[in-house]
Amino acid sequence: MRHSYGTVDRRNILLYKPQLFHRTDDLLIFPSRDLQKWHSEILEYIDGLFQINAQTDTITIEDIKLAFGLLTEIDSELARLFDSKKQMDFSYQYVSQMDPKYKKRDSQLYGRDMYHVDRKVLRITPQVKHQHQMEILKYAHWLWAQKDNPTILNVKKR
Amino acid sequence: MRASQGIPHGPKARLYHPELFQDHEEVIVYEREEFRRNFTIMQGYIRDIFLMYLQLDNENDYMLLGQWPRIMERIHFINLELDSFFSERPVQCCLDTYMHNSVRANEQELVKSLSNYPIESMSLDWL
Repeated sequence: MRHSYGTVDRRNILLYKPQLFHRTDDLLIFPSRDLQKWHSEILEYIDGLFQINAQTDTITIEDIKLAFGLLTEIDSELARLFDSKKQMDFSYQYVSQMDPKYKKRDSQLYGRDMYHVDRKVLRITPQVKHQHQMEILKYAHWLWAQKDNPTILNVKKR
Repeated sequence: MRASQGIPHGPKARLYHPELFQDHEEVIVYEREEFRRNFTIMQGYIRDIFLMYLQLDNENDYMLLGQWPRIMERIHFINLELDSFFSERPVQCCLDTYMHNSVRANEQELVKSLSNYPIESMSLDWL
């Protein structure tokens, strides 16, 4: 995601990378220390979920209830993003030490049909962007064709 | 968390609520639309899992075995979106191309109307 650090300088913000933003963009500004803390808290919960997945071979209802508890915590963390009265606990910062092999997708257990339903994670390359633009154009052409149909019919009637 | 909207102004950014931040404090700046997309997609996946949990049948253990990979799939996506907050890679949920907006916004009016808002009115639906 496009992001830039900056410092507050007399009620304005000096950006380190101002070239990232267009002139008409709206910006969202957070204190970087608070946002890193918020990010690390959510990361801690997510790591907990991956640990549940890694530790047990067969999932029981207790594991799912535990995971659901973690997810409600994540949900409340997300909801409290703009709560300005909330005090952050800066006494510790969670650094993820999990082996990345536990975070990999387990494609073995995934049903064949679901590949067509769910969103796949794909890299955005210039080719994909161009293809997407062409799809939008195709749809626009189709829409114009739909719009023109009644007018052509009217001309024929006269 | 303290947060404010702003607009870019040359090498600087102007804030709508500058009184929230102290002088010389380090801040992190996002583009609002990208942040909103990334944030709402994370919330959407969590809502998905909640709905799956409501549909679970507690008595049949073999159904749990089938549902768990689907839940982990959503968690994997949430993890990916969470990583993109501090990475330089483009956002995965932002596949749309940029459409040029021909309607020019009156910047003076926008600044006035937003800075008159109280800070407490910032909430999630404000994104």
